[in-house]
Amino acid sequence: MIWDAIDFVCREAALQLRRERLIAISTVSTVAVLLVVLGSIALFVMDLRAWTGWMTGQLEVWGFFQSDVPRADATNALEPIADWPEIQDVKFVTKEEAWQRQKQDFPSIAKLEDAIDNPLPDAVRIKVREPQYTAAVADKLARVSGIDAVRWGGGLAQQLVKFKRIVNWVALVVSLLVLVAAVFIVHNTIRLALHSRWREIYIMQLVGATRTTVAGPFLLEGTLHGILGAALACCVLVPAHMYLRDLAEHSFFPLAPDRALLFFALHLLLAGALLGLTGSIFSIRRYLRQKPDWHR
Amino acid sequence: MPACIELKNVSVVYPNGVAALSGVNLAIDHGEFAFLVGATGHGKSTLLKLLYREELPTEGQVFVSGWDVPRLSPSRVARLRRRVGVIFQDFRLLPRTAWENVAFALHATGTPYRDVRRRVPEALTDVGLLDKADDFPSSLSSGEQQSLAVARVLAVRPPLILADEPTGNLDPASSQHVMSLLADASAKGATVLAATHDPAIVNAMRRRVVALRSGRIFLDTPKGRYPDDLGRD
Repeated sequence: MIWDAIDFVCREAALQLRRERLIAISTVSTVAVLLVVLGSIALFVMDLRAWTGWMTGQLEVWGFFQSDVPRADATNALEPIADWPEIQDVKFVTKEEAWQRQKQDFPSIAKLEDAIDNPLPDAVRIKVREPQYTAAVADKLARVSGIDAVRWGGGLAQQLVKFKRIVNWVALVVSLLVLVAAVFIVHNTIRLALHSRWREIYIMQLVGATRTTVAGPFLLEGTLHGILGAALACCVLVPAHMYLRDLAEHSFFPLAPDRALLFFALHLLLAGALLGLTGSIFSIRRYLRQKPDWHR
Repeated sequence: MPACIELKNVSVVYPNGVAALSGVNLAIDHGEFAFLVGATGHGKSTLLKLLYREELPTEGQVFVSGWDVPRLSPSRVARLRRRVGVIFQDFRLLPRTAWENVAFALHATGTPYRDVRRRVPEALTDVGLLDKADDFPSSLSSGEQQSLAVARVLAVRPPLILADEPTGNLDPASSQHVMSLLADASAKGATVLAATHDPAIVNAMRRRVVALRSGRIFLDTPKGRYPDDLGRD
């Protein structure tokens, strides 16, 4: 019995998809356009997150040891630091390594090598997991025995935290607005499509079909339209993002990795299915309950 | 056992103030074949619509097989309509092929697929439309559309058949054939109430005749003839 019902819903939906091509084209294209807009916002947010993650990876907290601290004591001090939960990576930088890098970065210093002694102390370089941890890590590091001075990009870290928060909120609000608009537009598109089939829906009920029997194929049809629209949007957005990512690979603005696109595509397909389904539910309810004007 | 159809003091007044039915009392037993006659606009279609709940009475009670029709929930209305086959005056066919129109009615009544595949061609053969099974209603003549509407009902084999001018667009030979199909259904146990203003059909079959004038029953005779003073539209 239940299989007969499922079979019936599938056959009816397939019949409608085959026969009502114009309706299918208009619904699928509407969903596709809306999801390209919504998906673009989602990709933009993903990329900004990837960028802030990348920027976070660039944030470093430096701690400089007092010049009279023996190197063995300095390296011992690193062990508890490595266990701090906020940090991603910790590295001891000897004053010789630091001096060498200075000379590489500033060739003019190399010319004066004979004239001046290495003025740099031994140091510890820490990378934090999230930008908001930077200040706390710098504070903790300043209290480590033997540390003379701490340097960190305080302003940049705080700006990054603020920026990330604003991006999240703006993305959430804009996505919600676009989503509401999308539901409204898809609902109206499906409603217009169903309007032409109002009599058909009514006749189905006159010959004894239950509301579920009538609505089932329309809901499946709407869901399939949504998935097809989402698939079209994926066909536009995914290759476009892959192309942009290739362009930006070695730039200061690396985009979200390609593996993230798989999850993005799956979410977009789900969003398309839900858009089609909810749009159909809102639309069909009206036509199931009202009698068409038969003589118009 | 309650009557198949029972109307108790039923009145219908449309929103524009027109009284379609006034104080109608009627009972039709199971398996009975009755004609509902009357000039256009005198309440025949309204009375039929009450029975499958397309209209609701302003006053009075309507029962079909004991079910209080105006008080049915939406799911019960669907169950009622599965038991009531209606041949509509304006056919009310789905924009699908002839085969699919009949098949949909069978699916809607919960008929298993293997039975649908058997009963659709049987019904189309009965009305002479098997060779047009793949045609859409828009490409059928009015008479063929009417025959398809008849096939859709006969395929379902409902216990109650309501026919609103079932022969209105048919030639005399086809009319006789359709009426004989309805008579067969009645002989097999179905109750048939056919609204018509075709005296030839009524007089040839000599069944119960219920005549309406201005929304009131003014004649109800077993094995009756088409009333001479009713006139034709």
